[in-house]
Amino acid sequence: MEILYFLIPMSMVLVALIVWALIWAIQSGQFDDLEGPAYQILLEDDEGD
Amino acid sequence: MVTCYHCGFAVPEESNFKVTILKQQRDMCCPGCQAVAQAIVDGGLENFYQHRDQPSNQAVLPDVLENLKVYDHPKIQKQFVYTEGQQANIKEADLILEGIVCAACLWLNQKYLSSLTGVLDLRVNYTTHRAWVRWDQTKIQLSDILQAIYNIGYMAHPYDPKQAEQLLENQRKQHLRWLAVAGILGMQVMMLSVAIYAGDYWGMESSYRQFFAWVMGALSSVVLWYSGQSFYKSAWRDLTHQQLGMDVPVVLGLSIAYVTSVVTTILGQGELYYDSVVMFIFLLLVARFFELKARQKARQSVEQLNTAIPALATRVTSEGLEQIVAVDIDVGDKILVKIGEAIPADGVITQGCSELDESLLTGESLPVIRTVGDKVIAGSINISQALEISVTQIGSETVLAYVQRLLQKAQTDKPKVSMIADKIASWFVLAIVILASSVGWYWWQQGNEQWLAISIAVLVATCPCALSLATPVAITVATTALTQRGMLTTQGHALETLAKATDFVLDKTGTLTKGQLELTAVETVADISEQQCLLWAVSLEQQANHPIATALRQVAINSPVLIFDNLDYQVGFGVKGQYQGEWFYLGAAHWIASLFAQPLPTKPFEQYADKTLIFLAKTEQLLAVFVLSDSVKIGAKSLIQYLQQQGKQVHLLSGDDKTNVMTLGQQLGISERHYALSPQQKLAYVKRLQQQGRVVAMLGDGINDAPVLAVAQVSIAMAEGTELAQHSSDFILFAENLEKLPESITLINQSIQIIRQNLGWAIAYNVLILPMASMGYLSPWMAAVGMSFSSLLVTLNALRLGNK
Repeated sequence: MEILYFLIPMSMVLVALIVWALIWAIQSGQFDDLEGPAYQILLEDDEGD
Repeated sequence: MVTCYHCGFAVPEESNFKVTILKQQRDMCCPGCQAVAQAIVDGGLENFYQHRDQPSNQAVLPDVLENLKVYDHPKIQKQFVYTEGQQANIKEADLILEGIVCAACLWLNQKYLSSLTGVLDLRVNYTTHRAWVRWDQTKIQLSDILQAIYNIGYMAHPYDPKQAEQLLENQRKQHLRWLAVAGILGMQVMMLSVAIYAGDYWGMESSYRQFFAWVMGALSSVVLWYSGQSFYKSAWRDLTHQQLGMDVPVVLGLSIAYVTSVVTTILGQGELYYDSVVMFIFLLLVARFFELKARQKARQSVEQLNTAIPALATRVTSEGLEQIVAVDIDVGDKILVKIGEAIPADGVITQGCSELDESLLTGESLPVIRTVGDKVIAGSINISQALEISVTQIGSETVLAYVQRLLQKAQTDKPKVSMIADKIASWFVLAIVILASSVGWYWWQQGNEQWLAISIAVLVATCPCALSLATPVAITVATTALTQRGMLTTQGHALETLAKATDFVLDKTGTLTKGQLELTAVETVADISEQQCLLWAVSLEQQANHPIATALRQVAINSPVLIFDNLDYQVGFGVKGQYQGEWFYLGAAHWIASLFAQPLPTKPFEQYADKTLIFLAKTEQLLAVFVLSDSVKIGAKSLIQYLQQQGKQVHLLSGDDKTNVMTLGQQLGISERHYALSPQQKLAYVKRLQQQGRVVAMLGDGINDAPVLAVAQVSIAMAEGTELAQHSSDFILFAENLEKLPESITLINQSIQIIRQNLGWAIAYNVLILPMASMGYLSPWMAAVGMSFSSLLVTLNALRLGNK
């Protein structure tokens, strides 16, 4: 079970990465508009016809 | 009836505006809509019409467009255009989009604008109706971008976001970051504590247990110091103000649990509460986040009022016209307001007569007619003719600024029931702290090892967060929703009184009726068409400025008039004038009769006994009779029916004479009718009702009925936006119609109901949880879950109001 001494610090590094990514996403406005993009995908699709 | 395919308005009969959309000829109501629809089709964006779920707004007339050029002026751009990076030709600006009714509108803007050469980047936010644009100044000008937006039927103003709104937006992002950290690190802590719980049960090497405890400690420290900082700050603020706020027990609970766990970690024996700490912080942040969102929405609706004031104005000086920035306007300036422009400051019309859209304040879509001498408010939009106004109030003195202040005040105001709750809450906090320590002490005396866990549970579970959140959120949401319906709340606590009112006392003139004459019928006598008679009458009255002339002119506000010679106004009688050599007379019956030297036929007009009659005659020949009356407001009848259904007693009090009051009362179905009352008698009447223990709500004209409004427990004043500042009633109804009043009253009732539910729940929860926590049936994490869900429940319950 000594592997835990390696795995848990590793998971902490992963967590740090995730937190960094999330904070970056918040700062860059990914969560600013939670309604618009939902419609946008429908509208874009119809371009073809 | 044919409706406009673009905006859904009725298409006027003799018009012929058509556009082929989606392979079919569609009718349009006006050249504006036609141009907009054509631009959309030409841009290859017809799909818009398939996907929108609301008709668009009626298009603006093209006259506005030339004004947009001034937005290219460097001095004006300084306010809201930024240069990004090294390249001086790349500019950025924030825009407020108006006329957005559905998601398809945003798509349309996004597509259309992105297709312009020179537009580098564009982001449109559906939630806030804001856009951000970046462009290359060498290829396209800001005015071209704004014009493109007008072309497809929307309006856009650049604005400076570095204000209160930006502050709230930063707060929201900050909150999200706290949530993210608390959530993700919290999950790790929970995972490790599951391992420890399992280890306690099945056995686990103490070296691993210690290792886990250190990792959990490190993670929890980050969560506590980063995500938990807002609780510490607000508790510190409360304590330095010598108050006990709801964050005090939160912070106490968190600190005790954290410190104990740290000691346990160092000593290697005892209980760990890291899981409770992180869970508590995360869940509490979720509840607060929803509250923040509600405030942000309310704030935006207030800010929206601000943005209605244009950034630019045209000043009329002795040397001619000059473009100035709106903030440079001074009291006394003469300002020219062109068609389609918004009025930049409060003022009085000195030239012109036009229709103004005051929907910003009134919530009403129909424009009102304003002419020389009338007051106008900043932010209303000039629709039909250019106006010259003399500025009377600027900046923070304007009606709009006043409304914003009132609204902000009302939103922080609390009803009586909630003030009691607040008082209870701060005593409650003190009681909790004392109780938690005595419960802990008791169990410690009893030799229970869990004494610390129990006192943490008591502290956390009984925290009166829900009690403190129960009302403010509901009030904020309700007042915002009411303002959107044209009803301004000036006293937050009036919501409660209105919900309790048993009697509604209504005034007649100006409240149930419009208080001004309107043309209701035209009876032609000779063999000449109604239109022709009306044209003569309107032309005769063109220069006059009394109620009858205004009423007649309103019928034909935009149609061309005939030019009469030798116009002669005879006060109290009427007007005569010559057209193509022939004399025309328009006036009271007795005057016309004296001209004819014989009485007029009365028979055909008997049905109009209670109306005002104006006769039109041509040399010795009676042509037509115009019937004018004070008409009942739209929605008056449904309001009375609504109130009666709600079991309220409705009283009609009026200073008017018997026939008028009785007829109106009968028409509307009011049985309590009182006529020819002086203001003193009205006052006495209301007081008599109050002595019988009734709760009286008074609806009246803001100025004439001011004393009665002041005496009633709750008052709703009818006010035209221009006279707003003179009122001191609890609610002010901007809307000229009464249509939305039943809806507003329902909303008020619901908001009070929700506040009661919230308070009821918060109190019941605390009363139930307290004995359980003190007896030691709750572990700290259960207490954290219970308390946080209680807060979340009251916040979400209050947010239901906004969805109505």
